[in-house]
Amino acid sequence: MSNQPELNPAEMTAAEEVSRRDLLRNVALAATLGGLEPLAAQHVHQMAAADKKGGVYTPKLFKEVEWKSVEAFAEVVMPGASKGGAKEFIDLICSANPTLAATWTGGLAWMTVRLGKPFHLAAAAEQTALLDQIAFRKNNSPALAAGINFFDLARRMVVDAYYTSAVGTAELGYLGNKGMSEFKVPGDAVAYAMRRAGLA
Amino acid sequence: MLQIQRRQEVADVLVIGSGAGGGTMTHVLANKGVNVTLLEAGPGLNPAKDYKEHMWPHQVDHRGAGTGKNYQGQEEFAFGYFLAPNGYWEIEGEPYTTAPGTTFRWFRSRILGGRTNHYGRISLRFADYDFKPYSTDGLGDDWPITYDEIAPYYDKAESFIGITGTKENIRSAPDGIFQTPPPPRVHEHLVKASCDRLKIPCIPSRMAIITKNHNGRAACHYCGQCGRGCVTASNYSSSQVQIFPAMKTGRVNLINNAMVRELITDSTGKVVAVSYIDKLTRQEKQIKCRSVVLAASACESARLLLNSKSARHSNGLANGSGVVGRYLTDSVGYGLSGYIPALEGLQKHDSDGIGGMHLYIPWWEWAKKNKDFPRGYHVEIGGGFGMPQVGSFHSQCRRHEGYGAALKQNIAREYGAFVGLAGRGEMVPNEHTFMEVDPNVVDRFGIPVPRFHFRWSEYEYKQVKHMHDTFTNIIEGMGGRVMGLRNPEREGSGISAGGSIIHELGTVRMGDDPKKSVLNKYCQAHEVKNLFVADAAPFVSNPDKNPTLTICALAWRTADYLAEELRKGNV
Repeated sequence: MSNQPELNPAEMTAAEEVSRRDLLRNVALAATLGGLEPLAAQHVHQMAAADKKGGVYTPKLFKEVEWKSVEAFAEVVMPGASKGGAKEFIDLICSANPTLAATWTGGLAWMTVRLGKPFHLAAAAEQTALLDQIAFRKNNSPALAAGINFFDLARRMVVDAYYTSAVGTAELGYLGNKGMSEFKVPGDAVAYAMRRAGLA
Repeated sequence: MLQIQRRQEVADVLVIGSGAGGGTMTHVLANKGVNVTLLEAGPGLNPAKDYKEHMWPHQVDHRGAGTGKNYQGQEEFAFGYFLAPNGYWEIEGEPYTTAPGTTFRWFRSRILGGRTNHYGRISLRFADYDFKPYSTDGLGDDWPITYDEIAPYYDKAESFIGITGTKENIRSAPDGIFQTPPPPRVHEHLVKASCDRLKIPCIPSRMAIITKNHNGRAACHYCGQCGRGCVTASNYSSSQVQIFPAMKTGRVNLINNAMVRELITDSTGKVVAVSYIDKLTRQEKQIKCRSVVLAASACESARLLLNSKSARHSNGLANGSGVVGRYLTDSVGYGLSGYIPALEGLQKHDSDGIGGMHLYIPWWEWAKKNKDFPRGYHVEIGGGFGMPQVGSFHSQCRRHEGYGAALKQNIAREYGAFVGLAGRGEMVPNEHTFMEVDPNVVDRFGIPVPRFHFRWSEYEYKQVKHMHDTFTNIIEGMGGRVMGLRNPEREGSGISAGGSIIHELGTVRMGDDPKKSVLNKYCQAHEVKNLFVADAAPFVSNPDKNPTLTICALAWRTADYLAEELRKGNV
């Protein structure tokens, strides 16, 4: 199916939304009645990919300064995370979970105290100097423990947000979640791995 | 005063539960002209709307993390947000209890299709010797049926459902009626080559996924998301493959949200009605029946019998033997992950394929004498370039730490370079492992709940040690490193916790001797002629093969028998 033109979800119209509903209904029917063309299956994938809610996100937990700090922080932890919606993801999850919320607001405040200013207002060198300390357990000390514990959770959440975003998934090179009429494995790839494993 | 709505109609066959067993019963009976009333404790299902197949994490704001409980180790979803409407380990208002010192986890899937919405689709026939465990090693009991007796029903189930596989002529993995399997993925080539050196078989997996159009269902489109449920019905789920088509006969009366309370018998001891609570209205209802089939899952079916007490059946219905709830087992589970440097730098490609493994390792030491444990296990293989999900790279965060470009490089290098091996082995029933009804606890419907007793024996601990050594050899044979230090004997992180593999069974077992079994060889109660069981409760042993295909085959056989008995007027 790789020779099918890619549909751009952003260009989908309301009319296509209607056709999507029709399509899903047809798929349901096809599933029980008469089979489904591979092209239609492919179409479902792409139409489903367009089914994303739009609109601007309003933070539920973070205050204005925190919001800017989270954005800057996430971007340093995973460049591109801002575009990947990291701050929205973190805000949403934490807003529904008081323990996580406390870890984040506490961690941001801890960094503010260390830096003498909110994270996003610190110079890049100040930001990385701080992260170089709290991003590694080996630096643990009474003075840094709170920051290290915060970073342990914060890193995971930024990483999750980044790699589950369209930009992060693409950077990683995940090529699946597509319909295919036949499953094939590149022979070169098999030969490469077998040779390197000493199993060729 | 309790008002019970008594429905006027009399169901020919009343099936309780709509999973693999109930779905098969419904399909076979409806197509033989029998009217079936199907009770499901959960809601109905609309695959086009309910399945999250093909969704990207970024299509939901929480990316699949739900409300964030997962970040603190709590399980909001049994298998993640994207998996099909499936079920839960814990249900609000529907507790179960465990005896002191027991760990047991009870999975409940309350939705049309039950566990078949999400299950692994692994479809393995039991071997001839699996039906004769006592004759083979002196442990447990033989089944009242042989492989030859069930084989025609494996044929029927496989032909109808559609199973991938290849003829291999391996005694532990009897061949069936197969569709062409997909080719192995890259990491599976490595596992097979490593196994070849160890003289361990590694063969195309047998999965309930169709690779060509079949019975009006479209061939697989290789998105690898079977666990989310398939909108094109390219894998087996009882709802799409059996129940919806059976409803087109006009002979199926499906009642959703019906939580069955008890079976009601008359003075002759036959079941004449079933009482249930309509969960939406909390109205108590009764429906009359000529015969009843329990297919509610092993522990629910046993619970229902134990709760169906009367003056005649003070021990619970069909339980003169006292074995209802006994002989509970689950599969033995153990997994090991390996990091495979040979896979670093592999060219990116779509490795989704069918849902789950393309190759698996059937048990290979069935003929070996003087092993230090009885029975055996099969091995499931995981790996490939998976869709990034919440949690996919927590391991890299923990092991590599850091941030920014350096962390990205570590994640990119390791992406797709892991192989997971999961053993699923046979547990021998033991006297310490059973379920009963807790006399002190009822659920939100007022129904007494199960209390579990579970204990692994030395047999299982030694088997898991064998798994650990084997998996280590396979991983190292690929030049890989075993990840994480694990103690195979520690419950939970090593050997699985009881119930957690969700192959719990044996609680209403069949047998020739009414003193030692509940059901005869047709899964008909010795003591109640119009009562049948069609889930995994009748199993006499829990071989190292996933139960679903055998549930289907056995249910099919029971349906044939029941239809004939109805025709003759014996039921």
